[in-house]
Amino acid sequence: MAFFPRRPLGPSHFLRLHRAAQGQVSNLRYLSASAIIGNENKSGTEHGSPATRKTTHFGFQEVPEHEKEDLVREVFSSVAKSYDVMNDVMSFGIHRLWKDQFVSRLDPGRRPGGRPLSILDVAGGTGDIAFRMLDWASEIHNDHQSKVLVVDINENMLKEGQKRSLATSYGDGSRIDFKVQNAEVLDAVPDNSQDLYTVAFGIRNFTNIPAALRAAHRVLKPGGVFACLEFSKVNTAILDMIYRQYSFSIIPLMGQLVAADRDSYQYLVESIARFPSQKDFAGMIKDAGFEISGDGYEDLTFGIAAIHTGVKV
Amino acid sequence: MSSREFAVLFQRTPAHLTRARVCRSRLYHSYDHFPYQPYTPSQEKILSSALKHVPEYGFAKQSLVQGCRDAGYLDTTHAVFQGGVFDLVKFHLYKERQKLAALKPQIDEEEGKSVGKRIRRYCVERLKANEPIISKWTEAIAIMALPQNIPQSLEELAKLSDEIWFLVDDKASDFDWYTKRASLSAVYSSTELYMTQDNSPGFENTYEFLDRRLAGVQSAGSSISSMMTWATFTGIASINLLQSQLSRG
Repeated sequence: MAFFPRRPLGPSHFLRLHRAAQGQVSNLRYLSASAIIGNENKSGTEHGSPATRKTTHFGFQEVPEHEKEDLVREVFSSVAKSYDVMNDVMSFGIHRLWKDQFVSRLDPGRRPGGRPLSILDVAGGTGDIAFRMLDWASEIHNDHQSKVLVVDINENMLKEGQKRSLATSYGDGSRIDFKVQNAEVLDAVPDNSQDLYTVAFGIRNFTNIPAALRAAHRVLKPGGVFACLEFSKVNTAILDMIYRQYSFSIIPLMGQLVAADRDSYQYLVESIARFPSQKDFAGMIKDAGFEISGDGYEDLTFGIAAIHTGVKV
Repeated sequence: MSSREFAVLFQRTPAHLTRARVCRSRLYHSYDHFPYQPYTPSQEKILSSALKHVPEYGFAKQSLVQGCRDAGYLDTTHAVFQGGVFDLVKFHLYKERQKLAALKPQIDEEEGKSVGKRIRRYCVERLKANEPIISKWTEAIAIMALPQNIPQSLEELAKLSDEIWFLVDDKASDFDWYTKRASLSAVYSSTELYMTQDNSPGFENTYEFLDRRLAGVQSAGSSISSMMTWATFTGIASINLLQSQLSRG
């Protein structure tokens, strides 16, 4: 693409310098055949250190496990401000419908004769889902007491969320709280304390998804619901091909045009392709100790996104 | 297209789209193995308690929420049911259908060998099971008629019809198998719909309606099956005739 200007210096540039300094540039394999077929956790011999170093996937690249968290944090720092614009451009605004469907399915709100809810929204930095849930509870159930705790690993996303909350009626902080937390640990959240745990478009970025599911199991009250809205596998082969073509060629290009950050959006689409299928993820949820109903998931828009739910017993 | 895009587009068919070899339900009945249980014990507990609240709150979210509370779960637990209130309707249909099998010894003894009388008796027992919630049954029918629920509702009706014919020891192995179940499905669903607006004491008008429908089916059923027999014979004979003409040259 010779007619596009050279990329300006920005977070993505820092990302590449960072990796080069670690001596990994020669070892990065962007889309080699074995990466596509999906080799997980190769031994660390290629990274020039003893075979004891464990690696994980960062999109289609292999990176040491302890670095994935930092790399993900950098990706989201660079997309924080234009997060919603990019979501609109990538999904043609359908992401709003998905989030609305997610919240209406969960139907949060204190019922007559019940107690106010305590909701935990993980990786929900900008507060999309949190505001929707509070609005739903206030308007549909006349519940002005249920609270949402929004946690995220990235401070910039949380700051963006706090800024947005000032424009809503929740700006005084009485019903919404923002904390920096690692979803795999959740050290500030006590055991058996939450009625509802939601994670929307965040879980594919976690380094260790089973650990995050176990943490979710720990913090939920018995009977509490785990709900996850995430990109998933398209359920027909032809649509899958079209979707893949669209996401790998158009989305990074739009990232470049709209946000001047091709690398972050390349990571985003690669992480979507890496995420397990609906059935596999439902199996992982069951392994963490949740009980699922039926298949455990609901497809949205032919499987481009899916809502997984489970209850802690 | 660059080689990178080529690699992305023409990968091996993703694993989640290759046909799985595991089949969750048999297509035949086995006396030695229990059928596939669609509900876990905790789901049964929640849904049974939810059904008890239906006369008060109807087939609505509030019944599910009350059911979750009674079963010792939280108010939010209703979110785990994929179909929402439709799951409650399906559970009612499933439970009442299961209860019919327990009535077989009693009905066989009382009605003897007559197929028509036993079918009528099973239909009556199944309709009686709707009586406690009949005031809210129109809500359930509306939920079952939603486009996303229609395939499963029709499946439930087909399963009920199949269950009743199985319990009267139907041994048909020709096209009758289909006509019998289709006709019973039509009779049962029309009677159930009639019952929702029946105010007679003890629903006697409903049972008379049922008798009239069953009588109509008796005459229609035999004519449909003889028509199918005729059509099959005529079709095969025509093909044989054509073959003989063509082979003559």
